This record gives sequence, structure tokens and C-alpha cells, in this order.
Amino acid sequence: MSNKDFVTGRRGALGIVAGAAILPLLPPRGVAATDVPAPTSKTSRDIDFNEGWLFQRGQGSGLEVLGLDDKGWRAVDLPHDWSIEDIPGKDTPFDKDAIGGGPTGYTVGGEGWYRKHFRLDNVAADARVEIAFDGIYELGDVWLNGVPIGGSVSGYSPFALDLTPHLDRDGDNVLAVWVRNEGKNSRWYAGSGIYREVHLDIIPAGTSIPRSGVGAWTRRITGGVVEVEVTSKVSNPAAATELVTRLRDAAGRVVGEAKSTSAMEVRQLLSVRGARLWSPADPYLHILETELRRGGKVLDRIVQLFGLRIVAFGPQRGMTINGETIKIRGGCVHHDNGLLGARAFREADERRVRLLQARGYNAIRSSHNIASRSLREACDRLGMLLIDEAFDMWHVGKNPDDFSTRFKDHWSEVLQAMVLPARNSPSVIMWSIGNEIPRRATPEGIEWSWKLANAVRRLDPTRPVTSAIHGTLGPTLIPSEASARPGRAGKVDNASIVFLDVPGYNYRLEEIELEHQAHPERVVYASETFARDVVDYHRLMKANPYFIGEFLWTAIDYIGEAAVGRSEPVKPGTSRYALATWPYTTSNCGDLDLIGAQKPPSLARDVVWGLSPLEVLVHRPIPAGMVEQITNWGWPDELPSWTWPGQEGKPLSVRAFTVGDHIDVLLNGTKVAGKAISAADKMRALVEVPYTSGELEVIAYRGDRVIARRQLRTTGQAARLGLMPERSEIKASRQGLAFVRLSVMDASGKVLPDDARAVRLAVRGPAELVAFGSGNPRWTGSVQASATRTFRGEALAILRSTGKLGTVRITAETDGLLSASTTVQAA
Amino acid sequence: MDAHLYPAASAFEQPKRLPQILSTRTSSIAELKEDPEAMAFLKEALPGIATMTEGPIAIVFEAMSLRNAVVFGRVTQDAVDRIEARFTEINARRGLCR
Repeated sequence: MSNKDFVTGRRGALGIVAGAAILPLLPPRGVAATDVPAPTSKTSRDIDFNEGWLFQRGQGSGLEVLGLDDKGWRAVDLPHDWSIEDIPGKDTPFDKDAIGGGPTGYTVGGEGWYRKHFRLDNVAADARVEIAFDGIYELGDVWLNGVPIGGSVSGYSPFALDLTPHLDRDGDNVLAVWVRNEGKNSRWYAGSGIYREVHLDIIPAGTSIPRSGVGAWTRRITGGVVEVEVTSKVSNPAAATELVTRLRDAAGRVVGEAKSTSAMEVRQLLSVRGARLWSPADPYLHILETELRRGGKVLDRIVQLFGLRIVAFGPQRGMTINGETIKIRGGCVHHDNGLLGARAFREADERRVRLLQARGYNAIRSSHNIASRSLREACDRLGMLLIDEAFDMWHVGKNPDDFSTRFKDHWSEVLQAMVLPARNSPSVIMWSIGNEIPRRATPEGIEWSWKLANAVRRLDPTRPVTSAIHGTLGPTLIPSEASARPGRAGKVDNASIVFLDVPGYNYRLEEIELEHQAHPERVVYASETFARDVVDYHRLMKANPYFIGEFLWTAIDYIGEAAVGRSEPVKPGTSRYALATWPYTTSNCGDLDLIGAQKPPSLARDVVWGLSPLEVLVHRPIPAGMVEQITNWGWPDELPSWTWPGQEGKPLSVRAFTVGDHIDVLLNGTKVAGKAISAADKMRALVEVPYTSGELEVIAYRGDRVIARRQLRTTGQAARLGLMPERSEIKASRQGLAFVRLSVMDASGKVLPDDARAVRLAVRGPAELVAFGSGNPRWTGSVQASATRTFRGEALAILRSTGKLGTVRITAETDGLLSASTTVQAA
Repeated sequence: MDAHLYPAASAFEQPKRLPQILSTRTSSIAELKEDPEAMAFLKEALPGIATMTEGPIAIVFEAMSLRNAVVFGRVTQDAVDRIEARFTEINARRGLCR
């Protein structure tokens, strides 16, 4: 899919089947199969194992047994998340009394069972078979043919299990997975179930390349030559076998090659002349092939995508990629995909990346967990930088049932699960060992910080270790020679960051320049920021090389942390902690809402980041006797709207964001206000304008020159619905999705900016409706039913292909208005 | 251009902790609670200090400074300024300066 196929509008995103006969060699996604020669044995990796599962929600015992009658179970295709489904017997996934409460968006966890029947008739008789889960929330135990074979240790860690010892190679096999999401274990919506992809690997017997056994990094770029160092592990290295590593360009041409005698570990150097580098502006991917050969026979092969780039950090130049300074314009994202819940569909993860890039973002912080493989690979393909994060807590928990209860036993496995599969991803710029870690500055916390940071460095010494620090940096102290980072022994540092290479700061705006005076050696960034501070951080970024950028909390609304970004009228004196969070179910702190539509803080950011010279917002009138209460993560209740029925003659607050130095405001062609904008105004001008319907125009000037005009026009009555697919095609595969935007429009086609009404959707053809809803943060109804309500004039339908070809017709209706229909082609 | 590497350190040794200056900006609430003299004063100046580190978010809150607490509406700026003045006196008596 090219960028031009993806429709974004002015308002953000509006505007083997069991028993497969022959398992093909699958190249990495994005690589044409013809580019890669086929191996000579019937083995393969990365086989899609997402279809044909059975599911039963609720507790059960003995459901793992081979002969269980599971005919009554529900058929599901992965990824799957039962917490976003309607609660059995209700028409909503939300429950005001849910144990997780507001933090998990009032959704419900519990237990669920999955089963999958499959055959592997044509797999080599001695081949090893592994199943790889990219993530199960929160805990999963797995059985093959009634025999326990292992399970997960955390809700976000990819893990693989060996099926070989208990596999029936000639008959039916049954996998059973018992998943639990219980107690208070999360501070945000986590979802429940096998919510990420599952793959099968067929691995040759004897000599082979172990999972995540190949690590490559760009060592040097000089004189037009790129040197890539590759370290490959070999399981059971046999005599007379050689390890061949090749780098191909995107067209399949070999641009670098090294051959070595195989050993337990083989280190090779590839030199590539004139290679195209990877960068956010040009995310060019090479193909890294690793082959084990004996004579002319290929015994095993791993093929993966790889980007040639050097990312460096220093206080004089900040962060450079291939020698060019790049400032981070980043956003934190939780892992959910909005209305889809936690389901990590490739196309949904890719859509998130594209939506953010359309708004100028160049980096994502995967807060506060390991990113899905699908999100990370989308970042690789599209040039989005990524900080991957392991933990939200270490030895001291934030919730009674969270990962802290297992941390001491499983921290090392989680770090390996984060680093090893992702270390060849060019998008990953740092490894984060934590977010706002409690008790990190105590002696025990300091020791954990050292253990974690150095465990990461042993796994991958090519990227800096970071952590997101809130509050203070902790006591001053001096590390020893044995413990310190290079060059830091005997020098004063702070407890929370002494073992970090690049510390991240949450909400520490005022401290950054002050601390630089005492610690000019530090390279820092803001790992979480408030939207209201966008101008301050931008100025900080421009003025200070050592400050490499910011990550907004958050780039997109997410389910859970209900109401953290609320803004609403309250009686004067009301405590900010006194308000109930129900019926909020989402955070409401994103630049984009739950369906990807642009929100007011994003319009302001557009101006600051240079995407727009002028944006105009109008504050919703506050009822008499009330004041607006805005949380730190919130934004005033503004809209880009001049449709305020009932406010005729009353003054409305109009706020312009502009790079200009003054504005004029015209109402129906007559100037009604003007305002100069100084540096102290931080690109904002506030004026009061008595409301009359018509056209409000703001003109921005720099000196005498008009640099931009923006009009807000009063919309007419709702007249019809509109439907617009973001793409004209849907992939005819169970992983294929179509995102279709619904809007309520007046007779002239303008979207009603504050409309809320019931709408119904019908889908015919080879696709099913899997989500339907809006960006309303106070929505407590179903997000999978065929009826919902619009919010700010919009809703989003998400369709999933049935896997068949054909035309999908979507029709939307509402009472009293013209209906709308559209089609997408399943191809 | 050569890539920079981040090698692992050889062994853990607890870093040597330096005498700490009391500050509303750089001392965390947890650190202040460990200082009996500071805490005695804070209990008078900020009666809510004891409960500030209780409740569901306390574990996160205790890493914050008193100035951070202003942003989250837990303390007023006036109170913080008064406390800072007292901390300066205590630091001077202890022979600690910035």
C-alpha cells in the first residue's frame, strides 16, 4: 500500500490451515516470494497460524484434554480479545463494577480457553515444530494433545514453545490455551486473550539457526561503504556445514555476502558499497538472509528485513541518524487499537503509524510494554522511530496483582523477549527498562536498575538504555569503576539515572535546562509531556542540542485510564480528585481520538510543528456559575466550529494558534477583533466574539503580510450521512481490514462538528463488521454492534475480510436523514 | 562514521551516596520522609504530607518533589516557597550548600 492510497482529511483521519499439504517457504512480509530461492527441504518459518481456533469464555477444568467435545465452541480467528466483546448477557463490554475500574476502562477480564485442531502431514519426519505467540494477556498455559508444554510469563512478551515431543505427525493434533486476566493487574486497558499473532516454525533436525539467533548492526559508514556486523548462533553445528550470510537490496540483488564454517557462534562482516541507508525520511529495507549449507544443500534459512543506519547520541549534536541531527517529535501510545481493543492486526497497527505520521510524528514510545511485532515492523517499513519498553514496575507494584508479583522470577525472560526479536529492527532507537518505577532510587532499586540496564547491554550493546523518570532524579551519588557506564566512574550522578545512557523525563519541563548546567554530559528527552506545553518543548528542542525531543502523553486516545484527560464544567472549588471517572471509559488525552480523528490539541500541534500556519478553536460555552476544570492531561473544551445554536449575541472565546505575529478576526466580513501575538503568548491569541451564525474568519499576519486565513462556517441542519472508506480495497484474507468513516453532513456536505445521533450499519459481501463506534470518551455501549452513536459528527466502522473475493457494500442509516452507502473491493 | 557501543559494566557495587541537600525541587517526598528534622517541620507546614503518600497512586507520588506536587494540585506554591526557605536554613546549619 502506498501512502497516497491512505485517506486522511483535514480533521485527522477523516477527513497453515490445519494439515496444509506443503508448507511453503515464506519470505518476510514485503518481500516478493520470487526474490528468495526456495530451500531444498520441507521446512519453513513464520507460518501464519491465526485461523481456525475455537474459543470458550469463562472458567473450566479439563478443557485441555485431547478428546474433549468442543463442537459447541465459538470459532475465532486471531488476533482475539474477549474484553472488547459484549459481556455475555449484556450489550456492552463495560461494567461500572469491573474489578479494574477506571484504569482498565471498566472492562472485564476473567478466564478464557482456546483450542485448535491441526495436522502436519507433510512436514519432514524429523523436523522440529515450534509455536510462537507474540502475546497473550495476561497469563497463558499451553497444552498439546493434553500434555502441558509451557506458557507465558508476562502479558506482553512474545514466547515460543516446542511442540515436537508430543506432536502426532500423522494424525490430528489439538492445542489448548488457558488464558487468565484476573485481579487488578494493570493501570490501563490490556485486553484479554491471544490478542497478538501466532506463527508456526518448522525447523530442520540437526543443524539449524535458533529463534532470534541472528543479530546484525551497522558498524561503520565511511567513504560510501557500509559495514554490517552479523553474529549468528547455530544449534548443533555439524562438520562440513557453512554459514552463508547475504544482504540483498529490495530488488533481491545480493549486495553483500560472507561465508564461514559453522560454529556455535559465527561473527561475520559484510561490506556494502553505495548502499541505500534507512532513515525516517527514506525507510529503505534490505533483506538479510542467513543460510546453513552443506555442499549445495540448504539445511536451514532465516530471512528478515534489515535497515542500514547508525543512530548516535551526544550532547553536542543530540540524536543523529546517519550523521544527520533529528529531533524526536514523538507520541506515547498504549497497545490497544481503539475500537478493536487489544487486537494487534497488522493493518490496524500500520494505520496508527500512518495517522501519526500525517500529523508530523516521527517517533512512538511503546508505553509501557513490549510493542507488538506488527507495530514494530510497521515502524520499520514506514520510518517511524520506536522506543521499546519492558516494564511499568519492577520489584514494587502499582497494583496488587501486577507483574511485580512475578518480576524477580521473570525479569530476565522479559528483557530477552523484548530485545532479541527486535534487535534487527532499524526503527528501534532505545531500549527502555521502565516507566515511573516506584522505589527506583533506594539501594534495592539502584541495584535493579544496574541489573536490568546491563542485562540489556549484554543482549544488545548497540542501543542506549533508557527509562522514563518522573518526579526527582533521586539522591546524588558516585558510581564505582566496576559498576559505572564508560567514563562515569567516580563522577557525581543521580540515583534514578546513574546507569542509564539516555534518561527520559516525564513532566520535568522546568528541570531540564537547570540540570544541564550541572550535567552538560547528559543527553535527555521528555518521555512524557502535557499537550499544553507543546510550545515550550518545541523551543527547548530548538535551543538545546542535548535535548533531543518529546513524547506527548498520548498521541492517540486509549481505552482505560478513564477521564485522565477530562475537561468539564464544575462548581467552583470542586477538587480535581473528587469527580467520578464513570461513565468515561477512555483516557481522552490523545491528540487523536479513539477512531483516529484529530482533536483540538492536535490542531495546535500542527501549528507548532509547522504543518499549518493557523488554526482556530472556539470554546464551548461554560454554564453560568460553573468553571472549567481541566486535568493536566486535558485540553479546554474547544472545537473548530462556528455552530453554536442558542448562543446568539453571547460572547464566545475564540482561540487562534499561529506562527504569525498578529491576527484579525472577521465575522461575516466585518472585523470584530484583532490581537498582537508576542513570544510570551506562545503562538496563541484569545479574543471574545459575540456569536452570530455565518462565517468567522481569522487572518494571520507576519508584519504586513498575510500568511494564512482560516474560516469556520455555521453548518446547516443535518441532511444526510456520508461514508468514506480509507482505502478502496480490502485484502481478501482474515487479516484484511477496511476502515470506513461515517459522518453526518448538512445539505452542502459540511460535517456537523458537534453532532451526536444514533446510526445503523449494514454490511453485505465478503466482510464482517468487527467494530463500530466513535471517539466519545464517555461511551459505555457496545463497540461491536451494528448500531452506535456519532460523536462530533463522526463514527468509524471496521470491517474484517472473510477471506473471499468480491464487492463489500456498506450502508449507513439514521432516522430522518438520507442514508449512505459505499463499497470496497475484496482483492 | 562509527557506531557507538554501550558495553555492559563488569559488576555491581552500590554507589557511594553523598550528603543530601534538602530541597523542594530535588528532594523526593520519600527522601524528605526519611529526614526527621525535615519531616517534623513539614508536618507543621503541610498537615497533609502524611496522607500525600497514601492511596492508590502514592507509590508513584513519593518520587515527586514538593514542587512537582504543586502541578498536581497537592501543595500550593506559597507553601513550597516557605518550606524552601526553611530548608535553606537547615542546609546551612548542616554545612550543605548547592
